[in-house]
Amino acid sequence: MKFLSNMALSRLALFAAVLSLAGCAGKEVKSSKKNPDDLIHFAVQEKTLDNGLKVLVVENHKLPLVSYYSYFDVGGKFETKGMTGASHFLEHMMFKGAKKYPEKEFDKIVEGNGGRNNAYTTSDMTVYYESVPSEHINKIIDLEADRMQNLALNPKSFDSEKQVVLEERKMRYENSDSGKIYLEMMQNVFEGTPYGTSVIGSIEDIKEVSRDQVFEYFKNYYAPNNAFVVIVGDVEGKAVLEEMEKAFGAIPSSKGLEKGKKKALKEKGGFEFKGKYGGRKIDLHGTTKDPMFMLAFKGIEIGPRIAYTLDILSSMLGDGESSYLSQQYVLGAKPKLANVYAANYTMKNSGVFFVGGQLMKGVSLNSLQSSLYSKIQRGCSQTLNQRQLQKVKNQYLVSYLSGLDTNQGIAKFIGDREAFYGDYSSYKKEMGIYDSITLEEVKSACESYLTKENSIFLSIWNKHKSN
Amino acid sequence: MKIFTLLFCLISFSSYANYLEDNLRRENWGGVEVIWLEDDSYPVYDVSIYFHGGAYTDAPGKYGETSLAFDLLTSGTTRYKQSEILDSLEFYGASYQASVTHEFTSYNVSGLVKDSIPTMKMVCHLFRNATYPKDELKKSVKRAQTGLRNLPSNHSALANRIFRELSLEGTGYEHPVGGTLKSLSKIDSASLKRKLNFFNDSVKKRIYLKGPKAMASLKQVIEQDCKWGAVDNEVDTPIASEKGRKGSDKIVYLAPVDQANQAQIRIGNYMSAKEVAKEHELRAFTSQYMGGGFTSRLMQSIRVEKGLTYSIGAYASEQKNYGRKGINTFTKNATLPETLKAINEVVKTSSEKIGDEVFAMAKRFSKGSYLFELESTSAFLSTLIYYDHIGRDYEEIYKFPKVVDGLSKEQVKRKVSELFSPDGQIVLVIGSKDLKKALEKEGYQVKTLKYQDYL
Repeated sequence: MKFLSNMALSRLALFAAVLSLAGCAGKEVKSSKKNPDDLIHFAVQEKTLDNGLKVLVVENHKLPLVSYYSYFDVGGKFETKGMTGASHFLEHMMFKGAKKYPEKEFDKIVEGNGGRNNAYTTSDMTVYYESVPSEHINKIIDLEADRMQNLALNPKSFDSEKQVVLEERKMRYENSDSGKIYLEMMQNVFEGTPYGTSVIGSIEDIKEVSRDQVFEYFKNYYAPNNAFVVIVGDVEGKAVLEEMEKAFGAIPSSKGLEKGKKKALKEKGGFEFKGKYGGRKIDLHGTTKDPMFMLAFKGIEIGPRIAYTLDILSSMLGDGESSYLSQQYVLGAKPKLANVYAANYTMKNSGVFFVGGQLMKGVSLNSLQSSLYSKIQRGCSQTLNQRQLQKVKNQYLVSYLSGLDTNQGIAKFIGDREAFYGDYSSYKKEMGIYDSITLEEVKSACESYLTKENSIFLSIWNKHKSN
Repeated sequence: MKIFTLLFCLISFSSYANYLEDNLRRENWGGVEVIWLEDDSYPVYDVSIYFHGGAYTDAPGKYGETSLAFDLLTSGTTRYKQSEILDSLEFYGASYQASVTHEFTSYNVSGLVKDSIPTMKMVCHLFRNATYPKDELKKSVKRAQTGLRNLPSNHSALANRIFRELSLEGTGYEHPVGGTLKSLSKIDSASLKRKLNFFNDSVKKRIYLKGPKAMASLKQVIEQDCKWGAVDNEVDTPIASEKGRKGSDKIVYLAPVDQANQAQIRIGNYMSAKEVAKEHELRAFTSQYMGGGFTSRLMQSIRVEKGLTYSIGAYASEQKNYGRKGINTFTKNATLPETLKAINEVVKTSSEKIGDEVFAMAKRFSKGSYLFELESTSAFLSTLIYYDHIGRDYEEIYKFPKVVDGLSKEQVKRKVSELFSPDGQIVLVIGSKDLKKALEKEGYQVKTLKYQDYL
């Protein structure tokens, strides 16, 4: 979860209680309650329409602005043979016109009303967001409802947008050593699982996928029962929920949604790890003069206590200059690395824990690999201590509270929790869970997960042979 | 003390101005002016210590000195080792980072309000007692050099670095703030200490603060631990003359890199002090109109209609005495000449004709996005720092919508031409060496650069 933002492909790289309304279909409006010991509290008004679309609204009257986030439960993991990159490509096409608002209208309306918009796709989900002066909220609702049910997929722009995505692919991965090694790491760790295909898609699939295939994909996954919406800003909850009901209420739900998802995931082999690990080495030919590496370990999905524990472990090892790996390899007496990082990337159904960095001139890759295993284990058993654990908990508290001064920040904060945990209010428990994790748990997680048997070691260098 | 007295025509800006009027105040902490945006939303704070001096003070051949002096504040002091300093600051969950430009520097600290006193006491201790131990400096220089040596594996970053130097050549601002492979080796501990003393004792400072009332207790720390006192010296930087490098749309500078199947394109040039001193709003609006959003002229033509790129942007950014303007994009090797021509065509068309609907829409977008850029309080503080540095009144921030409303098509067409007209622009391409032939075939004169000369 805490690593989510770095893993997404974006459209452009370039951040009061209300009762059920009379005459309003759908279920009753629920409102979140504040507990006396809540560190933060958002008064969320929640309503699920009859077609399954859940809407979360937070009133924030500080400024006359509003942010609107749409989360769709579709991403790279559902893409079957020949369809890799379809979710991301569809994300691009969602800005290319629908029935009521044809091509070019979406951006014109949003930006023409002083707003901004973008979107991103991950292995798990696709997210769209707009921020506009709050007087235009109903227009945004109308735009979103139109493209959810009536996407045009104009053949001409379908072809030209493929060229755009191919350039994005080159920019992010083919012409960037750090992108290249990351892509290879994900494909190898999750080989044979739904997460083993790249979100950007293979070049061949991007070129070959047809309009009919993408339209079918859209029909299956872009439905109210596969989405939820978060609206935060200077709006009146009751009115905005009524407007949502009016705009989205008649959109039919996708009947075969769950069956289709199950089928896709089954076809892609299920989530249990199937790759070759055991410290397997993968050498990639790149342009970097000093090698870059990634040491990746089989991880775990978001949610269980052990996933929180691994978050803490990754921060103790590699977050900040005082972290264990930074002190050992970067700032120590004889530095071997120019930089180092560690991350626990948890997705909905699986995860990967990785350590990466760039070697200093003259440092041997082989010696680094073997030293990493022993230093990590030695660090976990002998060096990590209570103070380092408390430090990470303090850092989490700061990062938890940062970014909540904008509507967009709050909407994403709430939306991410709803998407990953199925419960937006899980933020109230998160800090408690992190706070309760003990040093023994962290050490035990390190021993169990960060082993050579669970790992793959990748490096990229201009001296590796071309493959 | 209340700062704002204007009534503003737009509801959005008026609300924001009212909010700030109620919450922004000025204080004086031991001779240092403090601009404090009081915010009780969450128990966190941001502090930016502004210094009216920057990397321009680096001696020739020692480029990167100011940057290192601030970055290595944590490398050791008379009392603490590097590991102890880092452990102390990070234990409080504090973030700390220097931002150095040629004209000014800021040191930014953020964290939990409850830990602000020990954190800022440590920061003051660093400013007063950093020693820059030789071994730490040596290691840090090696790390920085490793980063530079490997920059060519990131084509976009390499293009930005080379283009910056090319476009600012002869203005006095061309050397990179972070230094070069050669210059970093020449920096020693004694010169860093001298540099820090200079910033402590001889450079004007200001503190920008966002946080709740409880942050008032920082006053004592700033006065007693940082002991900066009143210093009025604003370090002079030269006025960028109008005699920099002149480019041409017929000349392409090509820096070949290995394994590139995409061409990074940078088009633009420097702006003189005379140019940046006027028409701020017109320049901001025009660059956004050309390449600042999905509906911008360049994005609509180059990405949306032609599918030549994933991203294209135009900018015109400045400090007090110099600026830069330009267009950044990338495209596949085969479409490089087509893209260069298409960009010129968009500039030409936009400098000749602007439609009513497009113009009105661009104005609304410009005013709206300006407000969103100020929504985050830390971003707002950065804006205040910038306005203070270039000597503009805060009230100008709130006049922006009104000024944009008053812009005419003729003004914008003229500015499009002044900023982006192909004549006189420097064109840089980072990509495969094979691009030379393709460009020459299309009539371009290609001047090949060695990227190693820019590291």
